[in-house]
Amino acid sequence: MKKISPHSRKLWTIDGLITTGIFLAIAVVLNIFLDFNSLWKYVLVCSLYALALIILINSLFMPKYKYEKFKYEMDEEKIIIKYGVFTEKNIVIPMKRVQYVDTEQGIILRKYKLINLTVHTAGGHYEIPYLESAVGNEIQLNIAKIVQERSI
Amino acid sequence: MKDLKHPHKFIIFSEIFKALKNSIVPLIIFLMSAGSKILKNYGGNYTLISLVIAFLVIIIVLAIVKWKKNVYSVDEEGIYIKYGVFEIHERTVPFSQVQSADISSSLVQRLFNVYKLEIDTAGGDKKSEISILLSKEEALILKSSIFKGYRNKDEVEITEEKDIKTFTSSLKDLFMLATMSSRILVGVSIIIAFYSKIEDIIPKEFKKRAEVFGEDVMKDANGTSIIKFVVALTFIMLFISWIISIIITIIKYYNFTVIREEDNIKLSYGLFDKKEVTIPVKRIQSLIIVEGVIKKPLGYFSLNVETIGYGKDKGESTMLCPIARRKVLNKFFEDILPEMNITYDLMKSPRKALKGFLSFRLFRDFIIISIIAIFVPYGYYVYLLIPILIIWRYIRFKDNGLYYSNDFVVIRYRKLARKTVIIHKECIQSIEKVQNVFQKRKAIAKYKVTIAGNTLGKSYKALYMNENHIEDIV
Repeated sequence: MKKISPHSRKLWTIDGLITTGIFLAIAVVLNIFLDFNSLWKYVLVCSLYALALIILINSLFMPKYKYEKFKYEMDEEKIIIKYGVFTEKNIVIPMKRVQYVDTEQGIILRKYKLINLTVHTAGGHYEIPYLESAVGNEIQLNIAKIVQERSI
Repeated sequence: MKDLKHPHKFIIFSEIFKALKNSIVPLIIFLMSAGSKILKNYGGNYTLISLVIAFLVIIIVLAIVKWKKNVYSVDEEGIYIKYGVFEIHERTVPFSQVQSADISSSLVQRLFNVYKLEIDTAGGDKKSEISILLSKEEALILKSSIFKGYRNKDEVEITEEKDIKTFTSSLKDLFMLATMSSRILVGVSIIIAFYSKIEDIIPKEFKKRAEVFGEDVMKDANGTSIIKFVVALTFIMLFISWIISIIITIIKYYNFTVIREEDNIKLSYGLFDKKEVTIPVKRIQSLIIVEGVIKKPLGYFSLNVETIGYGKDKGESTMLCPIARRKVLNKFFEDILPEMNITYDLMKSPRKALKGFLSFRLFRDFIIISIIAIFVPYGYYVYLLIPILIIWRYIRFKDNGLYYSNDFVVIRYRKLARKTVIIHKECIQSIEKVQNVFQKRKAIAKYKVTIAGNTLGKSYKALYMNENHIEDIV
């Protein structure tokens, strides 16, 4: 089984911190502008703070384990993706059913030379995040080749 | 040159009718407000009348122009359609892309011998790609040419007689369906809605008298007779809604017939609104045998199929058979769907998974029940549900099943009705094995099989099975 880029740990943390920031901002704004005259407002603001805290903890401690658990493999017949820390998922996609593959690269990803790869089937799509650009593009080409051969 | 044809002239009437229906409310509002405000020297009411007439003429002319502009043509490869008055749409659908073709007609349409042909492709649009009104003969010819390549009329008739296997639901089965369906509850709600309407309609005097009568009854009545009264009322209500349910069911599913014709399955049903559906066997993704809670002990079941690109009617599944006796099942498979006629020996959830299965769900139930008990007055009676829930969860656990062979995967599960899903392996888009920490310790996993659906894909889950199957399934 192959692994994704080790940078993923850092990137997951960055992602998590950004989300935390957003939630915290919303919570603070509500905290300032809301009149606390009924119970549900307390509940709302408190749960927003709690959510921000959970995401923060999650983004600080989990990426290490997430990185260790995320594995993928690909051959002529199938693609296998494994991930999940508490709930392990093991996905098998028959190569015959793959319709197309796309990749995306945001600003942060470009800096680290990584890409996100998404495999589409008629039944849904599955993402393999944070692959090194070279590896990801190679996979994309490989799958494209297999898909093309199939259609001929 | 393409041979352009117009659809049936009936479309003119239906367009006029539709336009009138849509504009009747604004028109009335307009007439009410403009009523007598137009001054005498501008023509007064005459202007108004001529306005209305002009409006009608516009509608009629528009409808005729619309009919004139609407043309279609059929050749070996596909069907071409052009329509629109101000914006002209042109569309070509190759036969190879057609997923389904439905013929339907309402009561009025049937009087004029008009049928509506709707053609669907895999495209995500909810509406049919092509829908045209045709005479019955034309519709039938077009439909058969779609599924067999274009042939002329005589040939089609010959082939239609050749290899036909039919399956019909009897009237008695429909009675059973009506009795057991949840439509009875719909009936009750209709009665209640109707009852509240009646209260407004009936004259006051009558109401008063009825009230007096009611009070008299109540005065004499002691406890038991009130209960009797209520019970009797409930029974009457159930009886009426039962009859309503039967009527609705029979109107909807009257003479439900399934025909296997080479590569297509044809369904036709309906008393007034006759519906015809064609499902190409190739498009069938999965077959679901539904055994309802009440139906099953009586030996009845129903069948659904899941097809791709067939999503106009009620989601993506099509009912292949609303109700039939268990005994008929084998014959049905032999005649209609020999491809799916397989024997399977389901693997059950292992015993060691029972504790996990029950405790997870019961814990969740318990929390919900506790919330209800705290916030709803007398809510703690809900705790009485717990034994029922335990039994229910246990039955669900017992019903879990998974089977796979070289060509098929069979999954059985129960939410309320027990469903057995048969999936051809070719149709599987992906398989997931999901396992949480507790399950991992016991080597148990959940399997999720995804097949192609209309928009997102449809997945079926086999819960709490042994963990080592995933490599073998694919």
